Amino acid sequence: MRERLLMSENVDIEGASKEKALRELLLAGLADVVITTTAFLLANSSVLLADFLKTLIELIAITLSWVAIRRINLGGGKKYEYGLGKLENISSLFVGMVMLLSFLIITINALRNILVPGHHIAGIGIWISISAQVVYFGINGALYFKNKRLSKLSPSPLMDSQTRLFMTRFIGNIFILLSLGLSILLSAFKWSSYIDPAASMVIALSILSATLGIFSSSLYDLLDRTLEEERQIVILAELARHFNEYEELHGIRSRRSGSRVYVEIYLEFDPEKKVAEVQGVIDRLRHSIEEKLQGSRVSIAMTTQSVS
Amino acid sequence: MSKQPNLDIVHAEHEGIQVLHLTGRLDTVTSPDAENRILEVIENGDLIVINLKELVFISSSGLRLILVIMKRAKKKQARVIFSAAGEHVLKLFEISNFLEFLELAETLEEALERAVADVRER
Repeated sequence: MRERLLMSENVDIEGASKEKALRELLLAGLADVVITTTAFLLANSSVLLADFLKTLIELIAITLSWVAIRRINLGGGKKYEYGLGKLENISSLFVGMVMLLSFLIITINALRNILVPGHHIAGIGIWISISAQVVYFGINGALYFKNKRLSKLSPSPLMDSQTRLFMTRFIGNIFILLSLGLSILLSAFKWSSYIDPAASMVIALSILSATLGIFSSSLYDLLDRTLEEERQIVILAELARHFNEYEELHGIRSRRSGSRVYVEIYLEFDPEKKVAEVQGVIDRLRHSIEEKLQGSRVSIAMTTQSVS
Repeated sequence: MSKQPNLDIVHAEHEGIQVLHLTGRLDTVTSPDAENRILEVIENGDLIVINLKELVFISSSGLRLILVIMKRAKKKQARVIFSAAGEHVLKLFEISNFLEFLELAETLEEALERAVADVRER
């Protein structure tokens, strides 16, 4: 659900392609919301209410990601560079709050239908939803098996996450189809009126689980803090690799802000060295650290004084 | 109640060689004081043995301190030998590329032998 948009340094190239991909996702999401809204409004189903809210959450998340990447691509004279990392986290928190609200709406609706039983799902909305679920079942199933095959051929975290994403969607389609199908097929039994609200509670719990994950990671990322030990060691390892290229190390300052990492290194150079040589060392060191620390911005300053 | 920094540095001299015995933890809390004391020794001597046998823990702050020490020693043309580093410390030296410029000796005796030989050659 959560888009990691601010990790790359090549914002110009990657940002444009990300923006295009998100625009396409946005259009697909809008179509999805229109279908689920129609189905939900025309039927009396708790599951379809949950499906509508889930789709709406996804659309909000994609819209916020699209707004964020657009803002980054347009630039702001780089005046708010330090704040951009947090835009992603604040967007995630907003999505988290919408998810929490959705969880409450689904739960209250499900409890109402369980406490006051007797409602039966009906209407053309059920058939609209079943048709849409069958189409999505086919698409998500095909994409799941395709990604699973590709993931086995060349394993990578990206392929794994894609496989998991389509597997979750595929299972979701099966679940909604099953719940609607059983509610219709078993409508002769009095107890069948519990199937719909019970199934919607399962969707509500999956939303709650994702919400807790978003809140914990986004709130943690929003706090400015020092770098973890393993990342500090990466910086030191690079300074060690370039040991003979500078005279003294006068200080290292580092902090995390959102998904960004800011590192300032204070070095002393041989005063006999030409500026071009010093510039070369600074560039090499900066590039090697930025390459190893994803999402980092490294500044190297020349000084002869200790910086605490 | 504040926790006392738990690093002891004992400074000794052996045939003109400055020997520093580090006992405890070299971390964010103990590194600043250790930096002042070790750099002072480097300012006043050109052959230093730092015995790490009783050093039980080293953090990134400790590694940064060692980098600073080695840069200062190089500038002053002083020789620093680290002796008897434990498994944890050696592993950290290895993953942080420190083995490329550190002079290590397996034992304090070996480090002193090398240093004494250096003194005699001079």
